[in-house]
Amino acid sequence: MPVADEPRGGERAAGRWLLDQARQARPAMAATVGAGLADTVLVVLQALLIAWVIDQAVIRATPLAELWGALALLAAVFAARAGATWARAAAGARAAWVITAAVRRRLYRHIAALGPVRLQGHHSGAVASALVEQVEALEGYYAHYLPQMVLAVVAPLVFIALITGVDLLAGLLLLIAAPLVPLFMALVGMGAARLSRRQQQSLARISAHFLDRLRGLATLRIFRATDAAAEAVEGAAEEYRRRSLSVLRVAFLSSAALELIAAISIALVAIYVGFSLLGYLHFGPGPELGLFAGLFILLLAPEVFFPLRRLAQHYHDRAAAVGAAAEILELLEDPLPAADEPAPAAPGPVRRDPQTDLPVPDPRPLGFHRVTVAFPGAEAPALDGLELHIPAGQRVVISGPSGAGKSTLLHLAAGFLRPDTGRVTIGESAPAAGAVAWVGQRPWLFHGSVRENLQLADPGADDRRLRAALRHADLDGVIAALPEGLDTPLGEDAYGLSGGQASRLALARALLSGAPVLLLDEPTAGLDPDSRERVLAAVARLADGRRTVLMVAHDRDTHDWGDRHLVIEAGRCVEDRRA
Amino acid sequence: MRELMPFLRDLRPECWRLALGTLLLIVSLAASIGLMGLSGWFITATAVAGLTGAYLDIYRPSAGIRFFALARSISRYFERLVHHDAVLRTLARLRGWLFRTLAPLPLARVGRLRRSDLLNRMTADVEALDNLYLRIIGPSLAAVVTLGGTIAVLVLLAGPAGLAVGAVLLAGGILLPLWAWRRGSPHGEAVDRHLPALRGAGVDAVQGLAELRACGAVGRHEQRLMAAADGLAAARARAARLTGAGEGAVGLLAHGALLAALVVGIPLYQAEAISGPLLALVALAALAGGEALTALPGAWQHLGRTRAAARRLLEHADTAADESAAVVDPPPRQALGLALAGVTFRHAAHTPPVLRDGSLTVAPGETVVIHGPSGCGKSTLLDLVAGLIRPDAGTVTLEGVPVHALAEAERFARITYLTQRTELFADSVAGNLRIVDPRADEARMWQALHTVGLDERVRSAPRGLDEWVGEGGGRLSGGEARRLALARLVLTDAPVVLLDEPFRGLDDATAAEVARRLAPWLAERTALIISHDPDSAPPHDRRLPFFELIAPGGE
Repeated sequence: MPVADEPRGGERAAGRWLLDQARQARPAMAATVGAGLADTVLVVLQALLIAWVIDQAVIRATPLAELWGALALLAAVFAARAGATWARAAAGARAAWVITAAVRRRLYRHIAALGPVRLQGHHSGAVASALVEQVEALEGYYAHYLPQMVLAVVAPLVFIALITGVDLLAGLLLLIAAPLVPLFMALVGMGAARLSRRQQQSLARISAHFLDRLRGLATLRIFRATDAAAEAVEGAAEEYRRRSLSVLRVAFLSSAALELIAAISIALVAIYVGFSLLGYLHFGPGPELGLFAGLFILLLAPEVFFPLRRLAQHYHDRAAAVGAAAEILELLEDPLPAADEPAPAAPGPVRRDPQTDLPVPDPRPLGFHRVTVAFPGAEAPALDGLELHIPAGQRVVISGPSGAGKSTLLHLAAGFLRPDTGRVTIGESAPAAGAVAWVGQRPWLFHGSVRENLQLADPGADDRRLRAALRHADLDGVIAALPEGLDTPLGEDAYGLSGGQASRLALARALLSGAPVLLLDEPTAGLDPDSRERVLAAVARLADGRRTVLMVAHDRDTHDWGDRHLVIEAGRCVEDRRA
Repeated sequence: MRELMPFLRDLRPECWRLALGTLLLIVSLAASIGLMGLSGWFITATAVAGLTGAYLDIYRPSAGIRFFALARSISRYFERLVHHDAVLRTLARLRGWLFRTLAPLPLARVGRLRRSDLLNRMTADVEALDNLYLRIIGPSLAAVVTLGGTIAVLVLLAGPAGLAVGAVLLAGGILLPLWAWRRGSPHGEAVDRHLPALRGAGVDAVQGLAELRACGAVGRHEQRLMAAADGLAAARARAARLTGAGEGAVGLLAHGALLAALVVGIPLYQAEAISGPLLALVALAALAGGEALTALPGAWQHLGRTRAAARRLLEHADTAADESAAVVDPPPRQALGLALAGVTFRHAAHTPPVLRDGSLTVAPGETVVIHGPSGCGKSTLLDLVAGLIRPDAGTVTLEGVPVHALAEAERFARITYLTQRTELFADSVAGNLRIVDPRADEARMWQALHTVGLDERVRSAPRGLDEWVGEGGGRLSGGEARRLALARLVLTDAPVVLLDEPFRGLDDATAAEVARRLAPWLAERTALIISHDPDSAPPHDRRLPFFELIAPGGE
């Protein structure tokens, strides 16, 4: 007998969490189950009517003319059943929609609140996939599995109770057979579940192998190994087939067992009813049975097993959802940093340059007051009692060995990270959205047009303002040369823009935001001297004495660019030189 | 439907297995119908006999009922096994086909495919084709045969009543799948359209979080993400409602057949043209006949997506053409010289040229290092020499022969190239080395590992050469992965070597040691090496800054 894997704690927690989420769509979930229950009632009505009509026609020789009423009623029941089936699908889809939307929203807000620094502890691809694919994978659980779970318990019991009411022995027979089904399914199914998990793993492995070789196609060609690799791909798929067949041989057993029990039960009920009708059985309630009751039992018997069959079909929905829930929970259970202080008062009306319509920020100082930050697991704190005051409008370049705390400094100023002790201030208040503009090492360009990428910082910006920003960032010529100008779509890896151009686009974005503090994380890394000069010139134009600039820079040529150069080592400022 | 033809042809080797699977499916469907029909007949017959006291052979019908019950389950079990076997065999072949199809694509396009998720899509498209085999062709064929046979039997037994049942089931059986297909195609397309938007918004949310937070755009991006999600969910919900409608319609069809049987059958029975048990048999067989159609609307609903998947796969097959046809005789495989003359190259029309009028000569046997800051376009230079991309102007020659005129196999028999990306395969250390030479013995592999200073590391691993390196070499450190990639080059016998930052990720001491061990191997070859730091590059005869190769200019 196959022994089930001990369900892991994580899996159980994921199962509980999945069930909890169903509360968010109570009406739709109730409608789904309700439509299923309505169908259950209609099945009974249908069996009654069919049995009655045949009994009337065959035994009582009622002419068709007198049966029209019953036949019309039967037709109405059939139509209602079709309606219930449709309503169930519609309500199930609705429930899945509501719940996945709520889960996705919550997950997104949690990710956003964790912030880019905390997110570094997770694989970025896995986080994006949780937000998209894993949430999608919950759908089948709510649309199909969970409602069917309720029906698979209720409907067979209703049918068996009715059959028992008509004929005790037939009811008993089904009462024994029906629980046998879940039992058998559990026995075979648990082994099959383990096998199918392994099967899924090996399917994932074969897809990964295929994708792996495709990704490395350049290398394979350089080594003239594509033919050998194609054979290996086929060989791996063939190997998977052989292994998966041995798995399927067992996995299909559970549904085969279910079908077998159902078929034999129906056969036994039919034979029992037949023998009773003939008067061969002299025990039990059989001898009193008529054709009406006999047919009723025969028609209802397969329905006892039907909900269980459907549940088995949707079992994989549950497996997929549990796996996805585990991934989602891993993110949701990553605790959020302490709640934000009350948001600073909304800034006053934005002053704009009358010529360019670009915002003109009020210069603000940036202060670090005895700031200490330690990351869990690290031996020494990333920043150790740092005291730093940057007057409004100053341009500061920061350098130091990697891991010295430069990025931590920037993240603190951006408000992505909160100090363990001490305080970070922009003007009088803590860093908040809108107060800082961020230009990362490889500025992320969003899926969408150039325009949409710029409007991220200023949703109301019209073309005049956008063009002015592009001009300041020395990008107007480049964008004008793009095939669709401002409406040119930018791809995942900023297809069509070089590294320096992407940095300048991020600068244009910063300009539009009107933020008084500009944070730059190695904006010139990997640029040729010419591009570097252009980026730095754009930053200088942008700063204009009105924006406080904090720039992390590695290459020596950039160190003397600002008004002040700080060297950070081991979480402390070891050099502070003014130009 | 033309796009499905190549994939249908692909089924030919499996036609016997598929035929057997379909036959088993027919047996199981027929047994289902038989079970219900015969049971109805039996119960009615016994009821009539019980009333009239007439003799009834009960043993043959009850044996028949038991037979149908067993036949249904057993044939269903084997049908699923046989069908899955055939489909898995076909999918294995399809993967091989797709791989061979993509192999000769221009490498710039392969790079684009890799970046854009298209490869993931293609893998999914191959798997989507099992819908065609497993859910559409087999079940449709089985439904036609089973229902045809059932109707024939019913007509023989009950004449007009059988005809009435047949008319309803056949008409519905043909119309329903076609209806589901037509109505389902737009939903499938909508899902295909919305999914990339949602995926893009999801990736943006994670990768662009710093920008979103700084811009105060977290809330606005939430709206974008949820709008994309709603678009997809709405398309999914429409598809689900259609599936529900299809399911309801199949039920209605089976029930309609039962009604037809009763309405036509009852007068026949009362006219004594058929017996009472036969009336019950026709009615219940009609009801069970609907089961043959149950899965069809749902399967046909997705035919549109299956076709789209087939179309996308064929598109790649059509455009994949080997650009490098041999038009010249290759130079002999010995010490070869390299030359670039007046080479200009830009990635796109609106970007500045990476190389402008660049010239460079490397004598046979010489080792030259090109240095410059990272990201300035040095890698493009090596891509040009390897013939992976073509210059916009100027020529790249190998011992006087233009590299582009060489067939790829001939070119890479002479040139070996350590690319900027360290591309390791999810395989063992030995598996990664045997990519170069499937027959390489252990001694040669250890020798190559020694040359790159990785032998001790591999020897100390629990499984030695069989140690798994992980996806993309993820279980190795960056420096170890780099050296393993370098060891592959050492196993080739190409006379020209191109190295792009060969020591990236190595600490200085290791780099110096590897440089020392690599020296004799490099000395026998013509080598072009690029590095941001020429002092830690392998020993070389000459070095020059990259910016001397291009006429510097603005954008």
